[in-house]
Amino acid sequence: MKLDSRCSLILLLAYLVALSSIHPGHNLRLALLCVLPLMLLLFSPVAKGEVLAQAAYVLPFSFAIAAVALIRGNTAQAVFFLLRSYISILAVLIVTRLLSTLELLRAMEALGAPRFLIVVTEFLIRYLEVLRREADLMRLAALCRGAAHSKLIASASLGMLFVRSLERSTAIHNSMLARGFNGRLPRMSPLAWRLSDTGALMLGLAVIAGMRWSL
Amino acid sequence: MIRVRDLHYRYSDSGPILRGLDFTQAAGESVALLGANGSGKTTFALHLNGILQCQQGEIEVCGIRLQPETLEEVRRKVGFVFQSAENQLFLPTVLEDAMFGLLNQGVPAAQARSLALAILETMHLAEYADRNPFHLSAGEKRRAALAGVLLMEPELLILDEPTTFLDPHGIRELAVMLNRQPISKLIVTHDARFALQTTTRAVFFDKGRILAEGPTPEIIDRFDWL
Repeated sequence: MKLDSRCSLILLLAYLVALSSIHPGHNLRLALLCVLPLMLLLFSPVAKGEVLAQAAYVLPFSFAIAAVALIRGNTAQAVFFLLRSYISILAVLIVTRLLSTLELLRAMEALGAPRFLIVVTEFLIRYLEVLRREADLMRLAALCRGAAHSKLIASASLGMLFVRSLERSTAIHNSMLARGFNGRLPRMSPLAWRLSDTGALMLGLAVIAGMRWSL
Repeated sequence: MIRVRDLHYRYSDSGPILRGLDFTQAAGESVALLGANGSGKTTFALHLNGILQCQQGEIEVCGIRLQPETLEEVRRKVGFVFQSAENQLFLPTVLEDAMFGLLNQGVPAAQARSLALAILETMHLAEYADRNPFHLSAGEKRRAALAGVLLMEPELLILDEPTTFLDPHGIRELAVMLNRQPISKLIVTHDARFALQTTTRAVFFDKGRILAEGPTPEIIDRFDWL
């Protein structure tokens, strides 16, 4: 059974707060909290290897902080920082994989994120797809005319790509206007909070709080 | 249904596209707009639901004079199916996209959903309701775009090059579906056979003016457009 997206988002936020509030040296608490996303990953239908690899993208960034600890000779603290950032991103990735982008945005809106931000994000996501498709078409057209280096093609045609994407975005906007779009994206179906969501939220918060503060 | 008087239009980076155009269409009539590329057909059609703002002249659609204050009302009555279905379908699933116009009209989500499912059934798209519109064939995309517009129950349906990317079977299927709709239709097309199948009157555009109008077979014959 799938949780309401608001419930998932609140639990994720609570988990991140709990994780980020652990002080270096409290390794047992960190280890306990690490179990949660790993268990979720194990039992969820997401591509496990892919998510574990993607979470590692954060490591070069968090290494900057870990490097300070290493320079001070505190290897354990450096490992603590790296592990905590990796697990945080892993938790975020799992939840975002389990929810669709629209579900996530709707949950954010319902929890008080500014509507303007939500609408801009929705359009950005839609137009990124437009941009990608236009880039693919232009690259294909160039390759068909004998161009050999796709990186060269990409850099040479970047300006044209934005012009074409702008044209397509305008066409999409026009078609939205023609169907009565007035600046507010309508909601397809209302969010439905069930008793089971309340139960899952209470249980989830209790488990997170227990792991973070009981030891 | 449509009354246009002395319509002029020029894009900021080009010369005049429409040069004093006059046009009328009666309620229930189906009209084809024919003419060469760049003759102003699409520019004219885009004026009829206010996508392009009238620079000079007068437009009245469904008894309403087109001006910024009446745009919303006009758009409720005029359905526009764009040339590229990909530009029209922008939501993650076919069902959500079909519901978009109804929700903008304030129809409750549950009612919009059941109406959308019903029209998708009629359009033979029910099995694709939860699919991403980008993964449909050209004909299916066209039908999905049409479904989203017809759901809004327009009094006038405008179609811009509806046969683009369609195979002969898809074109025939589209013609049958359109002929079933008992509403006024204005069809911008280069496809003379399709115009013959779906319209009774044709208007021939040339350099931003109407060069001739009359029964569709006569106009097609006169300009050797088949």
